[in-house]
Amino acid sequence: MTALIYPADAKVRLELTVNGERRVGEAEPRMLLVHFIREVLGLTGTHVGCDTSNCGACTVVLNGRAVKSCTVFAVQANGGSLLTVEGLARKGRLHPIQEGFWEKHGLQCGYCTPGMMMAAYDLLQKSPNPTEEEIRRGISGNLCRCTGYVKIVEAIEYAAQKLRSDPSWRSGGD
Amino acid sequence: MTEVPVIHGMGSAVKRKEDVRFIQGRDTYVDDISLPGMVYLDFVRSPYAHARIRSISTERAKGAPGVVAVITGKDLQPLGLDWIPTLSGDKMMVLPTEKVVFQMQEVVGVVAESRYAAADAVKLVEVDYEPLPVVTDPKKALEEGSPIVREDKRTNHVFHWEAGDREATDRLFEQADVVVGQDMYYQRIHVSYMEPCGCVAYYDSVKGTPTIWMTTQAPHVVRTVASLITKIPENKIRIISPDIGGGFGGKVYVYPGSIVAAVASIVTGRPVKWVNDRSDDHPSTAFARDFHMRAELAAKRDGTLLAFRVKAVSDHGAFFGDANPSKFPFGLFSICTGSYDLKAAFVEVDGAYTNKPQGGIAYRCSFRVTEAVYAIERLVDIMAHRLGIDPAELRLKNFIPPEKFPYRSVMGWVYDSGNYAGALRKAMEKIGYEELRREQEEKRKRGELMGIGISSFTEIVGAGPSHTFDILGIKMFGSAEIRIHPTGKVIARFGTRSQGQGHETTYAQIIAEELGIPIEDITVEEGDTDTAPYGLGTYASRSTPTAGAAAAVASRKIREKAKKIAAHLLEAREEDVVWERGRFYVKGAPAKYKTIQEVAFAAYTNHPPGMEAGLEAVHYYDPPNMTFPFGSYICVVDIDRGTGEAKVRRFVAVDDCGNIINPLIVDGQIHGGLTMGFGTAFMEEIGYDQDGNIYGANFMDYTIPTAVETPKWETDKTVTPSPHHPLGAKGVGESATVGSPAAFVNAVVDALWPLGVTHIDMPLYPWKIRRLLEEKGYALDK
Amino acid sequence: MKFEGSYQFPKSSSEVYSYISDLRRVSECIPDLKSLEIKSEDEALATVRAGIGFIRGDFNLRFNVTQRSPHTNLGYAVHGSGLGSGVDISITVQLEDLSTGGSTLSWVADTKVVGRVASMAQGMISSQAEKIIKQFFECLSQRLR
Repeated sequence: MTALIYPADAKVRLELTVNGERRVGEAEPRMLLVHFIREVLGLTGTHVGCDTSNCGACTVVLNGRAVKSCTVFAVQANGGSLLTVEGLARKGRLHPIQEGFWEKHGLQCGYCTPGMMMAAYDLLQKSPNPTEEEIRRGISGNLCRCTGYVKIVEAIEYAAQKLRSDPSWRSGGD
Repeated sequence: MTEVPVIHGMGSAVKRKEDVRFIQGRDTYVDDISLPGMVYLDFVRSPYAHARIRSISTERAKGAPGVVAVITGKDLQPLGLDWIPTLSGDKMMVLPTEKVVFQMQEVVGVVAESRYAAADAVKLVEVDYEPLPVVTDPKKALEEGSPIVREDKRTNHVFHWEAGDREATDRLFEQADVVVGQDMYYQRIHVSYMEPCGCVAYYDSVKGTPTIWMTTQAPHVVRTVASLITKIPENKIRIISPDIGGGFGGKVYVYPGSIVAAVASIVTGRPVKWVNDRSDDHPSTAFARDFHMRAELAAKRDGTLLAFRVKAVSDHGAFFGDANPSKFPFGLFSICTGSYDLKAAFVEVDGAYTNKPQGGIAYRCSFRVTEAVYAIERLVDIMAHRLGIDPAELRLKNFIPPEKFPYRSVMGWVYDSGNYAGALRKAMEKIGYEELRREQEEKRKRGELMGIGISSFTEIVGAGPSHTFDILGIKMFGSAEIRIHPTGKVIARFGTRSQGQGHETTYAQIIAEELGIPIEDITVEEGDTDTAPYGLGTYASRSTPTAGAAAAVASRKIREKAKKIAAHLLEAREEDVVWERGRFYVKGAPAKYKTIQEVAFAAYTNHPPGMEAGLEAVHYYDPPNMTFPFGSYICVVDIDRGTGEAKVRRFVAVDDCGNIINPLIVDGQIHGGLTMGFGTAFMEEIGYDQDGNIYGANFMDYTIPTAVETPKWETDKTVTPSPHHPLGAKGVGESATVGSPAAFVNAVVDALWPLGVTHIDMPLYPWKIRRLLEEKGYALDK
Repeated sequence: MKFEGSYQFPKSSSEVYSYISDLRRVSECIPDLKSLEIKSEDEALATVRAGIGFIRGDFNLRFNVTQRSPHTNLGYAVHGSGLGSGVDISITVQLEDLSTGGSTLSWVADTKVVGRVASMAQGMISSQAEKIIKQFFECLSQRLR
């Protein structure tokens, strides 16, 4: 990535694709991407659970890769393509990951869920048929305090199976 | 007869109603709330654990860009809000005027146009501190000459509490063939809900109404206390607890952030948002445990357990804020005789103030039952090893037998129902206990370290009966208000607050069961004090035992009225009308019926003359007794002689929470509780150095289990209904956190017992085990 | 945390003393100094840029001379605040002439760090504190050679 140099107090105009739509917004250079997503774009499904990049509640997919949006400046996402939890479902149809979390009771309080699902999204793109071990490693950057992970693993297994058998979800869309 | 609709009543593993919004990012947590003109509150926090404040200079901060207000303790003093009462009858500082009493304590509130501007201005506040001697060890705090944390108290001694019969217990100890004793420390931990604490406060100066959206498990209690302190009429205060990202006890407390945000809203006339960063939340919100105990168990040579005693010191930090029922300063610790038919028991606990944040019970513990179960289950295991009796056999020999229920324990509790041997035998069978013991024996011969640990816990939940249980005088009933609309759809409101437990589904299932209305047609609401019936909230596994029972009883009240309407519609005598899930028919003529929906419509359109219109009921349920869920957990560990790591190979949990409303949700509760117990046993610890610096201030060094370390839990159940609960249910939210830590520690100690190890304090870090292996000459170098 | 060290100089103890008892000269050796204000001959205020791990920012220091025993002893007290943290360092310096000419400077620094820096960077704090204090004395000794 090329170095980005902005005056500290300037507001920067950002333009990026968010869940398939063109969005424009302003941010101070120091503004974290997660605050831009939540407070400028108004997409509050992405959550903040810590300030040390440990919990993963803020995970989104930026340019095809899962990132912790509390560890990325908003300006770094300029011109990029962003997928958040709000963009997972398509035309009123739940994404298989969402379906899996619902069917398998992969969530309780729901706070870690969007980040967890976006991490799963990234994992299943790279590894469509993961073993349990791979799933557990794949979500190890995301903390959940409610479920004990057993049902999250089942949810991701459910989604993997569904994605493999339903080609309509394979092509992009983010 | 027409097809009976699927209603998903009791026992249905239906997927949760609330999930629709959570999986699509359409939930509303406190930080998602944004109001026009909203400003942000951040705090200057104390770097010192104990220091006198010489001066505070806020001038530079006030002049900083975007700053709209700066609030100090001196500003709160005239309002009488510099200190507020705690739930245990003590008081706590909101903002200090004289001195700070723990590190990271809130000192000055800074309100600005954005969270970034507030954080910038926080750095510009200058506080001049005079450091004072610090005390972080509760035992030292109780010694003569210790620094005094609370000058208003002039002593660090919070309370002395006793339960049981000292003399009878001591007598049995004198007569016993074998006595075992162990000093144990149940370390300080933080519950680490994923959503940090916060609020949005808005004071409407025209209406004189403060509205606060806050991360609270008990909104009504907050409203009442707020009204009593501020003299603002209770009908004008509105507390809303929106979606809560986990609470586990940590969100029963009211923190300074909410008070200062409310005051800041009055001062600025604008909505004020306060949300803790994780690194602010961990060191300043309520902790749990921090409990030093000496536990002793007496037995006959044949393994008959006789008596149990505990002498302990508990650390409460700078304020005694435990959300305990008022008659129980040390919670329900007196359940410590556990699953065993003992002849006598005695416990005594002294509470101490230290330079730490308040705490004690904020971690899924059913009011100190975690510590009680840990004490008895560790000691039973130590006794088994000392006597050379298999730990399973010793438990089976001493369990309270099923025919003795209802059972009055020597501590005075009346256990409602239980079949402890049934649960343990099922767990042993499922894990292949005999085979594992054989394997262990062979491995020992080869020098390999494998351990098997059991915990057969008894919980006590569902607080509670009004003759014994209150918080600040408010009785601990459960409440439900159910209203059937003309088209047969339902709105039901409760005085509890789900933080992930799935109330929107389970309460709907209870109503569905009782009224035959599908859960899709039932909306459950909680958390808004303007609409919900009064209730004490959700903690200590009390929602199903209290509010769940209230839902059942209120539904039954509705059914009684519906029956009268049905008789009117069917032109039959009421006593000839028969209820069958979802419909009423005339005895002997099931083809002639009216559905509950038809009856509901009639309640508004064609109700019998002389009867009130409408179909609704409210019930405040006063439980006749507590409920006593139980279970047996078995853990198998393999210890790496090189690294000292104890790897959990298998973990079988057999739980009995009485009748089950939703098996999927119960499973989820147990998985989550086991994972917290696992974290407690192996990795979670909040420590303090001698200067009062906290270790474990955030997720960098307070480690909670990830998917990688967490074992794959194997769960099963037995069902022993509660005889006094309307649904036979008992509650399950905390069973696994309460029951599991002892199983992990018992397994590790079981592996190391032949080396002469009788106990290791949690967390069982690999380095601790490695060091023991080195001491015993058993470590391998890799 | 206690740190200590000693240096030998070709200069005599009285020459060393007159140098290190001058707050203005001594202050120049404070590492990462951003600004300095000498309030009196016994007090200086300094702002330094400090950081440990991922926590970085300005630290305000008050530097006081607490003991002056010409040619033999000096005491300094440093009180710092910033980054949600507090630092107190009490330094004692002892000077001794060598029979071979020149002198020895021995120092002991008693350091207490509290607050966010101490709790978040506990593993690094002692080595970092030692490094900064040693940097300070290293700088002084360079100037005295």
